[in-house]
Amino acid sequence: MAGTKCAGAVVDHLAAARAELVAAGQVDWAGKAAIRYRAILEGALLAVSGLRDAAEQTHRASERHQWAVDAARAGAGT
Amino acid sequence: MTEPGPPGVEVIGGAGGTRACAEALRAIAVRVERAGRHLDDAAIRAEGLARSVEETAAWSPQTAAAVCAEASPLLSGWGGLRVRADEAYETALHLRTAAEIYASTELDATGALRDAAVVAGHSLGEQGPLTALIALELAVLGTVVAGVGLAQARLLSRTPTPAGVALRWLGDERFADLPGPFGFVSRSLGGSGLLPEGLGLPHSESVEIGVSGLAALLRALLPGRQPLTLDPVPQTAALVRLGGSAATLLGGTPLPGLVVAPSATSPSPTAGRTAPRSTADVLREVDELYSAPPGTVGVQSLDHADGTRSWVVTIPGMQDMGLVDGPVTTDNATNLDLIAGRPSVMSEVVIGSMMQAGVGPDEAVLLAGHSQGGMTALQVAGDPRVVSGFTVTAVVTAGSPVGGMSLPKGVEALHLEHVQDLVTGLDGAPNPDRVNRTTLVRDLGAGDKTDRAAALSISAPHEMTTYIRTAEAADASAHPSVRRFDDVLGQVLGDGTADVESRWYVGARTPG
Repeated sequence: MAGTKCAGAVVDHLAAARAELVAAGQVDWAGKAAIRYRAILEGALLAVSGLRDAAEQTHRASERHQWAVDAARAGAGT
Repeated sequence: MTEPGPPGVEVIGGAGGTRACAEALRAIAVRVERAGRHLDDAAIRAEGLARSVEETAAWSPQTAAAVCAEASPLLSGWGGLRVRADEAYETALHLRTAAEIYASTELDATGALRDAAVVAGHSLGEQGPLTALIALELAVLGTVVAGVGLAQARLLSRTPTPAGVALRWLGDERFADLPGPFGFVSRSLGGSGLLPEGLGLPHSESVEIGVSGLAALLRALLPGRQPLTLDPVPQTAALVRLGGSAATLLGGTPLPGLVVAPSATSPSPTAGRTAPRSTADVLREVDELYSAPPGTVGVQSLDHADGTRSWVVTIPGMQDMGLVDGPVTTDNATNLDLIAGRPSVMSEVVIGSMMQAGVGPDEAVLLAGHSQGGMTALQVAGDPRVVSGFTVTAVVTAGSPVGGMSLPKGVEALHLEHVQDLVTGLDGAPNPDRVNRTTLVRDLGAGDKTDRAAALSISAPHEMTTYIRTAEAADASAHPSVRRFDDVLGQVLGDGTADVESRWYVGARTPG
């Protein structure tokens, strides 16, 4: 259970990180260097989006692992 | 901060200005730091997951291995959560550093000179009127002597004498661009004419410095010890205005009343007018007011195809030199009131005109003024009655000394100035770099033949025809600050197809 909770929290934190980066990219700025900094933010957003996908898959895998562990424990009578 | 554009044009402030950049960078840094903290927390949780799976792996090795495989990108030392968190913190630090750099390089290159002039003027004034007069006389005498000496040297350089040959060599154009004293001497001796080419009419920045020093001097000449202030212009303007009011009471006719009424010379409301489409068009409307009686304000309604209505209010500049009360409201007394930050009679004329024209509380309004008219526009935009009763969306000023005046947030302003326009320096302060205030300064000396001719005149840089040409340059500018202003301007003017009704109102001071 602890593992599944951790995995769920990872997904939530990554979603929050992604939201902050999206908001950063929407700051109203028409400056000369805006293009360069927006590119940096887009790169970070892409990386975080990739990690979020991995986190969701990890969460599902941890749930399957937890079921398997619970089943194994139940079978062993513990 | 400048962008590539027409030669001789500098844009300060606005959405692409230094202050906007610094603020935006800080706002982005805050968000990126928060993202970093979330990534850090995610990393802690992922490591907790890994430990939990390791502890239970014996119960189900296969599913445990599957979890580890899925989690490996999260825990990777190459692109995992910890790495991304560190990158986010580093990016935030870069952004904050860049913000500090932008903030520290902001405007006011002449600030130190202006402060020095204020301190010098104040010190001189505190010595008393006699000392100040002697010092000023010596300064004038010194300048004249130096000028005469320079003219004599330049004349001598044209003679076929050994001294003339030496002076001609010193003044050779090859040396003109050298730095330091040698280059200065070369430039002083070179070129044709009795005086060096660089010695022409002063620029508005010089006027800013001079006015600040003069204001400090006048203020310090008052009886008693006057505390030093680095912003003496508004206080001095208030004092001079007080003097004018006193002179009115003593020898003139006080005119405490004000009448604002539709002008008899108003053009027919629907006289085949086309709607203004640009800043230049709006300034043409301002220019038309100079053919009307002094103190005339224009109020133009624009009825758009979507059923909405917006307004363009145009305000002329000074039309009378009077310092004591007179019937004309666009006089020097109004100039002093505006610079001093006191309520001005022209603001009452504009507000009264807007009320009489029936401007609705939710209808977008553009205020546009030339010279004093621009100062009036800013004062009106910040008037509590206007802030609560109307929706001023944008302000355009041309040749207006508005550096010491504030503008409410939510109102976008474009200030047009010329380097050679001495009037814009009369406030003794540069225009502030604010997100909602864009200042476009054009050097007429870098323009076409007409502009270069205007640059050599005292009056032409301040004239409406010159500012209309500058507005046309602004309309074609790609600078993000100017483009942002144009977007807001478009909210008032629409697409240029609105039905237009123009009315003029005139204000006059009255005895009661």
